[in-house]
Amino acid sequence: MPTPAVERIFEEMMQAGEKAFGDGWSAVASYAPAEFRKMAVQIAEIAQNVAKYKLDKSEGYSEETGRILMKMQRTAAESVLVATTQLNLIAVQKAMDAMAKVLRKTFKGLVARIL
Amino acid sequence: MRTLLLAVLLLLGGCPAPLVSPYDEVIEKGVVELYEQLNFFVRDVADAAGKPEGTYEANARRYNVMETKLDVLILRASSRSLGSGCRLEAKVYEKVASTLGGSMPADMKPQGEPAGDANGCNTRLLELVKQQLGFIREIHARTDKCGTPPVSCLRPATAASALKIANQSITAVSVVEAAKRN
Repeated sequence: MPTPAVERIFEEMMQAGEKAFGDGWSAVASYAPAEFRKMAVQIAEIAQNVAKYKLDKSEGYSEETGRILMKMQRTAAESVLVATTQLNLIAVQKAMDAMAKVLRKTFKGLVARIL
Repeated sequence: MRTLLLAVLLLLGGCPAPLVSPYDEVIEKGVVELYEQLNFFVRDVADAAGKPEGTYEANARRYNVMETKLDVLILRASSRSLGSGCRLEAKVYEKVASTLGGSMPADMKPQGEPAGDANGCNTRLLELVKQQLGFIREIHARTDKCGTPPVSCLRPATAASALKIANQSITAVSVVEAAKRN
């Protein structure tokens, strides 16, 4: 069961993503939301593990480790954003290739010479 | 009709460079292998936490092996790139820049700028995976301690969190390559 903190983090990330990608958002909608949800869960998990360690040193992990894990999460966010941009571009590239193919077929001689 | 044809030709002719780098089977396979190798290694080391075989010192060479593998993939990706970095959509670039604050990598460029090319993003994605491996190494060598007297280790809780996060960066590379292949 996702905690309210996870839900809040996830919603904020989704809104930021939609804003940043605008119309291209739908092209990556199956990949990005799943990754943003994982990030939200993991950020909450890091906080929980640091809290556990403070109570019992045999559980969770130290604040210092938690800080490095947060840096890792930031790096993962960059990976997801770069991949999302690439997925958008792949969709555009495929659309352009398909367009060029149709044009080649339709205007055989002339277009084939130019493209 | 002639104007329309001319416009379409100009549109297509105006984008001679591909928007994305071509599919690379070697990178896709290499990343899947790295995923298996890293996941096995981290779980193995976490199981041995607190024992001599779980210390950083006993495992430093295994990090070197994975790092070398990544260096080979990065070299392959960067050999196709112009070395001008990864070009992000302008709005995404702004968002990433504001999230990362002062630590925005110098080789990340917004789209629309002349710098940055389609192959640069492949290199960047692989470099991010390498960064993740470096972070796990740092935790193992420096911040996680187990047993009495305390020795370097990867605590099971750390291993679980670190793997989930690192796997996101690895998955990012394979998702992109798979999309190019399909």
